[in-house]
This record gives sequence, structure tokens and C-alpha cells, in this order.
Amino acid sequence: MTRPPVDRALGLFVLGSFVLVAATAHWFSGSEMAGVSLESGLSGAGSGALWGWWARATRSAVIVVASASAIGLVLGTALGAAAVYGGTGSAALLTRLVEFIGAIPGLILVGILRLADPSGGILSLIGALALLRTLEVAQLVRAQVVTLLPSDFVEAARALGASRRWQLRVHILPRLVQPVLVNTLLGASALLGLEAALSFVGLGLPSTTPSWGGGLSVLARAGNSGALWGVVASIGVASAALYGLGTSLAAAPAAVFAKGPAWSPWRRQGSRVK
Amino acid sequence: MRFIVRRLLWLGPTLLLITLVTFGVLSHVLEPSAPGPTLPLFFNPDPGAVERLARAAVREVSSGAPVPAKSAVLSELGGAALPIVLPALDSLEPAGRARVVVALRPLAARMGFELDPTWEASREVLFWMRFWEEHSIDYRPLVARRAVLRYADRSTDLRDAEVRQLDTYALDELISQMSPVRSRADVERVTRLAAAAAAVTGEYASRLEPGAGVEQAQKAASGWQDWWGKNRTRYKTYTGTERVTAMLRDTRYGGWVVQAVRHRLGLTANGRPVLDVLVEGARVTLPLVGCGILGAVLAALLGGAVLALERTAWTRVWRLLGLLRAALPIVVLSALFMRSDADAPSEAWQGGVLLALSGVPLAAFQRATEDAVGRRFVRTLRAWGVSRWRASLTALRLSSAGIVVQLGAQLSSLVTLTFVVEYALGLPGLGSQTVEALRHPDLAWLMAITICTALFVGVLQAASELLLGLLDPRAVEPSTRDEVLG
Repeated sequence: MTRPPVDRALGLFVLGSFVLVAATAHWFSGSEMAGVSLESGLSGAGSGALWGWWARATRSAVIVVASASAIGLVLGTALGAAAVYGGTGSAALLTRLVEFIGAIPGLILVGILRLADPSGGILSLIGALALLRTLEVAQLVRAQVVTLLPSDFVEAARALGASRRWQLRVHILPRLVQPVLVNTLLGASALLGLEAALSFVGLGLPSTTPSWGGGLSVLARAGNSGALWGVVASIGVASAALYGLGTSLAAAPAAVFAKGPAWSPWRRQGSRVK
Repeated sequence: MRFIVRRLLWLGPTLLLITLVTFGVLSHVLEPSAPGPTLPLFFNPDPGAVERLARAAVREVSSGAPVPAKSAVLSELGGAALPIVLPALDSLEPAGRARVVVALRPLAARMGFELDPTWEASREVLFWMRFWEEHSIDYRPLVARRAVLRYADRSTDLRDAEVRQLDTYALDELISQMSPVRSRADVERVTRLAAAAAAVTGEYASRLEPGAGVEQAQKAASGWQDWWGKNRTRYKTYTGTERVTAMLRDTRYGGWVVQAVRHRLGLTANGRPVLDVLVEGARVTLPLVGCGILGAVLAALLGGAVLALERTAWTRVWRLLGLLRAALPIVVLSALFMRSDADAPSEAWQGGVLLALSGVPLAAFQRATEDAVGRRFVRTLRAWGVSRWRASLTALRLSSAGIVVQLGAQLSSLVTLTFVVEYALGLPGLGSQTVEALRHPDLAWLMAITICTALFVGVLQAASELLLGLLDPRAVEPSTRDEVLG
């Protein structure tokens, strides 16, 4: 068994640490952290309060980015595959939808969608970010499936009588894992920046919910350099870990992701091929 | 070329869809704070509601049910409802008829009739029936137009009385005769017309005081036209093609379109024409976007050259720089700039530097160059003994098509980053105004900025496709497009 490269292991370790902090954020936050004016009181907060705030902001970032990425991944894959198998109408619809959404800058799009939720809660932010991711993943999946369909091995499976579902499960989906995973990681890095930017300008998470972007805005204005550099480092390390992991997986051989001969239609001919 | 034309043609429906969706969402958000009667959003199946409203009010009032609101409706509809209400008196029971004429008392006072309060209702009924016998001929569009034109030309007691008697029936003409306003004589005309309209509707906000200037008169005329746009459907009865037009125009979306045409894309929350603010902001924003594009392309070319040279140490350094860039999203860089210059006013060049460093599309651009480096003919060149530099240049030339495609695809992200930088550094561009408009919803600005940025991105994407066609004609042929672009 081969060990994963050091950069991938490091990236996973860093991301795992952030998830761990997010999961245990309530331990960091003492009773003094429960106030609603947490973000506005950041500039003069003590180290205990700052640590509590940081843990809760990390939890917000992890929840938003992970949820939006996961929703985007599932819906985008389904939408992309449907655009190919659903015929020319679906493909044209997807293209128009991507053109439509792509023409509006993300800040305006998310800002307007957020306005539709008067409570300005976390769910509408996740929904708006997930929409952006869904269309990006759908576009990628559609392009990959369209490229893979005329491949020799898919043609061969089709000639042997493999059903469309079988082709999709055995030949297409395993080959989608790498590009989609890479795109999701790079997209999560971009989402982290976008979520921070939205909170920074006051359009992201509510002011009562700790967030890295909101903290950046408050600390930069207040001139609390120690805490500011802490937030900068948090965003930087998380972004770099996602980006590094993504680029590292992009450089990995495709065979690491796609199943080889064990998935061959010839081996399972009796039970799988229809 | 056909591809470009098709793309440009699709821009129209895309923009229309963008305006519809954006308007729908924003109207949903702003609806609770909107004053006055609410029009349908996109389609008005029953425009020109005066007849329906008047008949309903007469029915309710004459039935004897305690409905003071309906009596108020009759008074509010005023002269516009008389052609429906007065002929209907004949068909009512005497008691019902009496109730209706009592509801018409405020209207009679507004029209200048001094009815004796001691009169019995039957006498008032007789008064209104005689009035209709004598004046029904006046309640026709051409007669109303003539009366208003005479009043607009010069005010006399007789002319004043004519217009007063028409009441809300003359509103359409009163308001349409307020334009144009260019000279002192026009100001006097608008003052007269605005006073008459205010007396009829009770809308005193746009009334013009004596001695007002041309600019104030223009503003007042504009205010009345806006008011009429929102309320016209209550005072009118449409027929034929006018009714079909009104189905789309007498809606909230139609109102916004009319406003956008009349007020240079509408008015911002502080009353300035949106187009003027857009032009001012674009002077800051466009150079920043240009810096972002320039920085990203230069970085992509540099990165591509480094990768194409295939020197391990340089490649490692370059990848490390890429990781560093990923670790410093624009929001972080902006916060750091904000911090270091907290006491000094921000300069536009700082934003330019930030955007040039942001390298938005850098990763995607670099991928295009990497793809080119990995191609067979570049490898073949190397195998033939061509120098690294020569092969590197060939790879860069080959990657130009990919870079152009990425340029179009990443524009939208670049605009977002520019807005964040502007907000952080307090630059007076489109971004700061947009963020404010999102925080305190400003429909006119949000609609305008959405359309303008979508148009900007769409046109530049079409331009990038055109450039792509010039760089590599195969790329715009549908059969080879996917192959060329990878």
C-alpha cells in the first residue's frame, strides 16, 4: 500500500483541524461569549474571548463552505448528467442558465438572493452560495460526460450491450470523481473567500453570528493587529489547504480515482450487462 | 462569426430574464414598504379599474351596509367615476339612490357645487340627474382635452370651473400637459396644472409654489408623471389596443421600465438619476477591472513561460507563489491595505495594485498554458532539439486562445472582487454604491447595476469569442471547438 504524498496529508490534516475546531466550538466559547454584540466588542476583547470568537467563526465558515459545496456537488452532478442524458433541450436550458447566472457578478447575485430572506439567516446564504456552485459543477460534469461518451471503452461497452445506467455507473462516474473533487476543493477555496468578502461588506452572515469576514472588517478598522493577523492566518491557511489539496489531486494520475479492470464489464458480464 | 452573432442575439433575452427575475425578487423584498395601491407585478389582467371599482362601490353603498370605505372610494374616484355612477342612479331603489348621493357630497364640494346641507336626499338626487343631463357631453376625452388646454393657456374663472367640474376625469390631460418645461411661461403653466391636480387628488407633495424656477417645475412635473404612472389604472377605462398595452404598462415592472426611460435609468435613493451615478462610478471601476485583467494575463504569461521552460526549481517557486496567492484572497489583502492606511485617504492606484495582485483567473489562465505545454507538438519540438526558450514561446502562443476564453469566463468574478476592493478602500466606484444599495434596498440602482454589469460581461465575453476566432479560427467552429479548447 502506497502512502499519500506529504502535501496531500498536510492539507487533509489542516482541514481536519479546522473541522475539529468547528465541532468543538462550544467548548471554546465560555459563558461570556454568548452576547449578541460579540463582533462589535472584538476590538477590546481579551484573549479568552477572542479564542471563543475565533472557534465560533471557524464553525460558521466550515458550515457555510461545507454545506454549499456538498449541495453544489450533489445537485450539480445530477443536473450536469441530466443535461447530457435529457437531450438537447436540457443541455440548451443548462447553457442558458449558466449564461444567465454567470452574467451577474457573484456579490450582486448573492446579495439580491439574500434580500429575499428578511431574517438574513445562514440558510439563505448557504442556498445562494450553493446555487453558484451547482451551476459550476453542472457545467463541468456535462463537459466531462460529453467528452467521455465517445471514448473507445464506452463504445465497446455499448457494443457489448451494456445499459446506459451501467455505462454511467462503471465507466463515466468513476472518471468524474477526480475533476469533480478537484473542482469542489478549488471551488470551496473560492467560496471561503466569497463568504468572507460578503461578511466583510456586511452582506454575509448576520452581525450576531461570528464570521471571519465580519471579524476582518471590525479588527481592520479597530487596528487590533494581533487578532487581525490571527484571522488573516486562519483564512489564509484554510484557503491554501483547500487550494493545495485541489491542485495536488489534479496532478494525481487518473487511475487513482477511476476503478480499473475490477470494474470491467467483461468480468461481470453475467450479472451486470443487459 | 455566426457564433458571435448568436451570442449577441442571446444577450437580449438573457438581459430581459435578468431584469424580470431581479425585479421579482426585489419587489418581493420591498413590497411591505411601498406606499399606495399595489399594482400587479408583471401582468395586469384588468387594467383601467375605474368602472369595476365604481360599480362595486355603488352596489355596496346603495345596499345600506355600513361601508364608509366604499363611500370614500366614490369620492376618491371622483369625476372619473361619474360616467358610471350617475347613469346607474336610475336603476337603484330610492333609498339606495339617496345613500349614493350622500356619498357623493365630498365630490360635489370639490367640484365647486355648494349643496345646501338642509336639502333632502331626493333633492340631491334630482340635482345630480340634472347635472348629468346637462354635462354628460363634457365627460369625453376630446372635450376634457380642450378644457385643459384652455386652462393651461390662461386661467379664468370659467376655465377654472370647467376643469374643476371634470375633477379626476381631467387628470390624464392635466398631467400630460405639464411637459415640456423649458421657459418661464412653461413654469406658470405647470404651476396652474399642478395646483388643479393637487386640488383633485389631495397630493400636495408635488404642488409648485408661486415663484418657482424651471428646475423645480421640471421636478414637480416629473413627480406628477410618476404619481400618474402608479395610479392611472384607478382612474381610466381602456379599450382596444390601449387596453393590451395597459396590461403590461400598468404593472410594477411596467412602471419601473417607464421610470427607467424617463429618468435616465431611474432615480437613486437620494434622488439622482442612476445613469449619472453609473457614469461617475464607472470612471473608478473600469480602470480597476482593467488592472485586474492586466495583472492576471501578465501573471498567466509569466507562469506559463516558467512552466514551459521545464526548470524544476523555477516551477516549484512558481507553484509556491500560486499557493501564496490562494492563501491571500482579495478580502484579506483589502483588509490589510485598509489597516495600513487607516488614517490616510485611499487612492485608486492602491485598488489597482490589489486587483492586479488578486490574480482572479490566474489558476485558470495558467491551466491553459500548462495544457499547451503538454501538447504533442511542443514535446516534438523539444525532441527535435529546439531550445527551451523557443519551445516556451511556442507554448505561450498556443495558449493564447485558452487565455482569451478564460478572460471572458472570469470577468464576472473580477467585477465582484473589484466591488469588494472599492468598498474596503472607500473608493467612490460602483461597488460602494452597490453594497449600500444591497444593505438598504434601492430598487432603481440594483436593477441598473445588474443590467449594466450583465451587459458589460456579456459584451466582453462576445468580444473575447471574437478575439478567439481571430487567434484560432478552428475554435469557433462547433465541430472542433471542444477539441481546441480542451
